[in-house]
Amino acid sequence: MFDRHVINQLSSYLDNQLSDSKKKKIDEHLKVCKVCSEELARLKLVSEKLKAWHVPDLENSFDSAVTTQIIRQELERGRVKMEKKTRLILVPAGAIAGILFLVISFVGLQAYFHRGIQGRQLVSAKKTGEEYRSRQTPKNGFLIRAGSEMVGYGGDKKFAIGVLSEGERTSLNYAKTDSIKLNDLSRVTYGVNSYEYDDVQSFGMAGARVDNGRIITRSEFAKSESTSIVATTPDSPVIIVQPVLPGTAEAEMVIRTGNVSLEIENGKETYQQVIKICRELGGYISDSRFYRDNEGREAGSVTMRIPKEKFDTALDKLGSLGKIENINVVSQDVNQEYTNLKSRLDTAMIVYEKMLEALKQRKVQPTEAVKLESELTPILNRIEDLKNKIEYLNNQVSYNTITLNFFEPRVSAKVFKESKHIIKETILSTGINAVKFVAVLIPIVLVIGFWVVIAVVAIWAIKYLISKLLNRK
Amino acid sequence: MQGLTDNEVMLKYQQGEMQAMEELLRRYKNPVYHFALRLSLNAAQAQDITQDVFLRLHQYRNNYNPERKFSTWIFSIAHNVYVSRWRKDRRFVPWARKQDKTDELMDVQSPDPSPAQEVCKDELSSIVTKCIQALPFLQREALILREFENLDYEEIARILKKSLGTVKTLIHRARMNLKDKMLPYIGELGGYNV
Repeated sequence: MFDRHVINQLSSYLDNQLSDSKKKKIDEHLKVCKVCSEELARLKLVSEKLKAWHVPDLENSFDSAVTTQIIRQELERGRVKMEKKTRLILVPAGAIAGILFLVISFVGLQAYFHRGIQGRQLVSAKKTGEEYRSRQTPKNGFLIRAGSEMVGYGGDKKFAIGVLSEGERTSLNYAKTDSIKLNDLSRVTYGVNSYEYDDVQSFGMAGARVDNGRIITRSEFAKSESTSIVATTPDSPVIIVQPVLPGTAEAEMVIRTGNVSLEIENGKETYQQVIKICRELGGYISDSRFYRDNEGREAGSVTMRIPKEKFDTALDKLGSLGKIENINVVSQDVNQEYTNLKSRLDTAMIVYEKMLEALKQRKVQPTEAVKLESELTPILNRIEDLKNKIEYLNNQVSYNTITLNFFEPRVSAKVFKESKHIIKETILSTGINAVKFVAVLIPIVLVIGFWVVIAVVAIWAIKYLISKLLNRK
Repeated sequence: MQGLTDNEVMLKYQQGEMQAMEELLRRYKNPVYHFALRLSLNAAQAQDITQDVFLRLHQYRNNYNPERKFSTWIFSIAHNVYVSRWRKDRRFVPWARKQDKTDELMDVQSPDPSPAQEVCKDELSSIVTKCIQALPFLQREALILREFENLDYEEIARILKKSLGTVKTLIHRARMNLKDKMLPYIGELGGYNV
């Protein structure tokens, strides 16, 4: 039996939550303790009154509402799952597509920058054009020369220059060919299109069998007896096709005419530079034209006469003023014509001198003298005519003609170059700024992160303390 | 379904039988609703809590441990839902400013019955409501689970995540407090003759 009141355990006693022994002891205590019995009665009464507190039930529509919500939740979960799966596929696919796009764009831009302003010129042709202009012998290729002119070039198994004929005009042509096998130098075959001059085919197909730079056999010099192939050095085999002109006692009589087409940046500036080059080389302008076309592009044409020894220099200098679109060099051999004229002049002079001597030796009557004089006059005229022709030929040979056509491009190369430069600069500066940004960001993130962690820990601790306090209440 | 125990019905639901949910609703929607209503004294809020309880039951159905009593599990969910709602609502209670004349505002009577008035239709219910409302939260919850849901002390301890001793103390204190508050009213009604 308990000695003191059992009020603290009456609640558990009432709820039948005590062990049998404890329950028995309390029963005995209650029999003798009026205070505890009354307290128990009050608690019972409170419990009974509490149970009288009825609340209404839920409506029947609640079940269907819950079921609908569950179905909606399931559908939502399915949608989220699908989205996750889709993201798993789409994100890598998008990343790959993006990388591919960047790579393709980069390659495309590279190709575009490489191909030039108009995007239509082949890299090989451009390079070859530059090499032609600089007149440098390629390291791993070969040159074909006709006289002092380079008319062909081959190299790197990729392309070659041929010579195309259009009547008397010859144009340089860049073409790809598979016939060059530079790796197999024991057998080099190179085709050059036929070159015609004065309706006579000077040389056509050229080919050679070369062993360590030494020519072993020639092959196929079609319709040409005046071409030759010369290998220059064993290490760098160079083939030279040279027309052998008939030897003359006089100096080589060749009239050369050059035709150059240039794409330039500034029309006026180019025009002024052309005049300056012409004067510096001791030449003169025979014809010039400067105009602006419908699209507002400046263009012009200058025909100049340049001393023959400065002809190549002039072509080089003019070619450096812009991007070469086309260069044609026509060589007209006038040796035969010159020799003929000279022979005819000599003959005429002999006849004239003989007639003059006969006239001097004979004692002729005035009527006969008049007759002889009248016979001498045509010979004199003929001699004058031949002299003029020879002087004209001398002039043509000593001063070669160059016609330069220049025009501005549709898209300004300058603008393009500047744009390219700006893009490069922008990319570079963006990269530098990104690195700087990251360098600044890292310490900021670390500092903020540190304080966020401190704040989270503090908030958690405060929450924990508050919940503890509330629970105590 | 009707012959099965709560645990067996829940296992059926775990296996994907929708009929099991109907049975669980039939058995537990009102106990859960009554528990929520007695705690919150708000019919709409109690209905929302009950719906949330069954949605969570569906969501976490695979977490149910058959070794535990189903009623304990579902009332644990109800307790968690109520507590999380109570915390959320508490965040949005604005602080009363000094210059606000709260007394005047509180004196204004609405013509419509209050949620508490709706719950307590008769006088005794009204007294019980007032007295229970005055109890601390944990005492109130423990007492409701004991008196109305007839759960034993161990179950209540699991639901409230408290020790058995704490639950005993909570219920005892709740009864003593309630006794002190209710006896004057019960005496007026003539029901107290001890």
